[in-house]
Amino acid sequence: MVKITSSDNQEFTISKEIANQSVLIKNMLEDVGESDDQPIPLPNVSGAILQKVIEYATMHKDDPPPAPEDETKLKTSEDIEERDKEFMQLDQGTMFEIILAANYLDMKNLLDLGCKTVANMIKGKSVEEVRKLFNIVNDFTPEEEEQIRKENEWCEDR
Amino acid sequence: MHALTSLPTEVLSPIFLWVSIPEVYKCIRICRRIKDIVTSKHFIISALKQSIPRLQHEPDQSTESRSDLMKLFFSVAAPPPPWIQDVIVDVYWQDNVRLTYDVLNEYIEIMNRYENRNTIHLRPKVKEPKKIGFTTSLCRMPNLADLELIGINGHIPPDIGHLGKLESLKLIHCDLTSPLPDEIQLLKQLRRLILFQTTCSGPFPEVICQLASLRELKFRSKSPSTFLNGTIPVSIGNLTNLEILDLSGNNLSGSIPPEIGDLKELMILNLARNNFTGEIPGEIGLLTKLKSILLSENELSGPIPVQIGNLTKLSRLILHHNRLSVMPDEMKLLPNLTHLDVSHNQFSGAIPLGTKYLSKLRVFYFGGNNFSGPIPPWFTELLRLKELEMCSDQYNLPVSTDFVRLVNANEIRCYFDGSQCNVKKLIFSTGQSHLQFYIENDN
Repeated sequence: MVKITSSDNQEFTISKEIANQSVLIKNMLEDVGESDDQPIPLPNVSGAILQKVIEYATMHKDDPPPAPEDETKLKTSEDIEERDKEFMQLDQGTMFEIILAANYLDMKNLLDLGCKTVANMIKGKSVEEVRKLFNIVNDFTPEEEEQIRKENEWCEDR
Repeated sequence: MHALTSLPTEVLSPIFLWVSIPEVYKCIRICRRIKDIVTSKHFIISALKQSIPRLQHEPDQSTESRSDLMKLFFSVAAPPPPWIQDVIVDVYWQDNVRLTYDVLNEYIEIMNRYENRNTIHLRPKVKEPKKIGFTTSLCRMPNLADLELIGINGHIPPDIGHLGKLESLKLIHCDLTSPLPDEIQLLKQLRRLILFQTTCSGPFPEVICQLASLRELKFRSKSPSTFLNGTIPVSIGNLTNLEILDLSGNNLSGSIPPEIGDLKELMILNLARNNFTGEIPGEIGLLTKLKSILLSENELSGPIPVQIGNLTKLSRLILHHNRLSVMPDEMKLLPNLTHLDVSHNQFSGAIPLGTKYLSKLRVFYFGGNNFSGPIPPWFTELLRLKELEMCSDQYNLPVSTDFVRLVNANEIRCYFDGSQCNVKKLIFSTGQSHLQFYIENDN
């Protein structure tokens, strides 16, 4: 078993196969050796998020090793397992924190899942809808906006 | 609490990669931060690799990934914006010597689908396909020698001048919204400029006359509203390497400038279907390499110049539908003439004896004039004749058994006003061994 602590000092004890899904933790474990009993500090991840991340890792602990990638196959964001879709039904704040945690912990599958989920929220929407959904302020000057609109003209809706 | 735009680039960038081409095109407008990410060269290359997986693993660019990339570049369903096109050209097409693409084909295909879908009222309404323009990105290939595009829209940008090695520019079925830019004169290597079935209205672009390397110049417009108009500038004489000049089917007027006589290499002169007036300049006789002259359907008048006799290589002389009135006897000096069409002009009198010497003549149309007198008996000596067309109300009925001797003729048509015999058209037609003839009655 491996002990990890969150930024807010919550301690989690997880099995090694779950811990190894994070390349960061896996490397640390290799560095410090098996015997070390000290918890691994993860100062960039809060307890609440770490909880979710462990939930994800537990869900995927029995996954077969990934098949060698078909290099000619088109990868799309629509390609998400149903259980992962359910897992990602979260508020935006949590979702972004999980993405950041996945990035920090170096968990490729979780990072891909998070990024695909956000990408799917952007796809199929107009620019204005995207801004509204993510609360983004349009920080272009009217002149800049006109310029961009012009440059992009022939690929946008008329 | 985190917001999308507060995420670090290392995370934002993969998110937008998953948005993928072409959806990512619009993202440039969301805000500055996102614009900077999606327009970075690094991001675009990754996005291209994601949408064309083969690109990733083939540094040497197989035909397949090349054609996928080409499709993406010229896509009419989702045309890429210039900031994507620039990267495609800079990264993958830098060494291109040749580029040819048929946009029209894809456009027609997608347009059909679009129309079908929108007529059955599917929602959301599918975006109407758009033909891409001749973008400045295409002008970023320093080695490009051969560019052929079918069915593009817009205008040729001034950047075309950067294509210093361009030898051949062919635009077919294109809609150019403005005249050729002056920068085209920078293409000093250009040998072939072909605008075929292409909209390019306005006056004859005189700037072309600076392109001294030109061998072939063709301008054929698409529809009457988009014809070239005005006159041929006298500077056309600068194009001393020109071998083919085809300005047929435009709305050019004025006289044919005598400077045309400077085009010493000319082999084909096609000015048919314009509004040229005045006489055929005698300087045409200087063009001793000419094989074809097509001046039909203009308003040319006066004689066929006697200098025509110098054109010993001439095989086609097509002058129908003008107001020409004199056929010189020097015609007999054209030993290689195979096609002669002088129909529908104002020639009169007997058929000139010159034609008697045209031993290779296969097609001879001379109807619609005021020739008179009997059909000359030497007609039967034009042994290679395959087509002969005459129509005249002044001839004696040319029903002569002598025609039987025109053994090679596939078809001989004689039109005349047959008020006497109630016959409108007589067609003689010889098969291999025997003569048939039909009489077609008016009713």
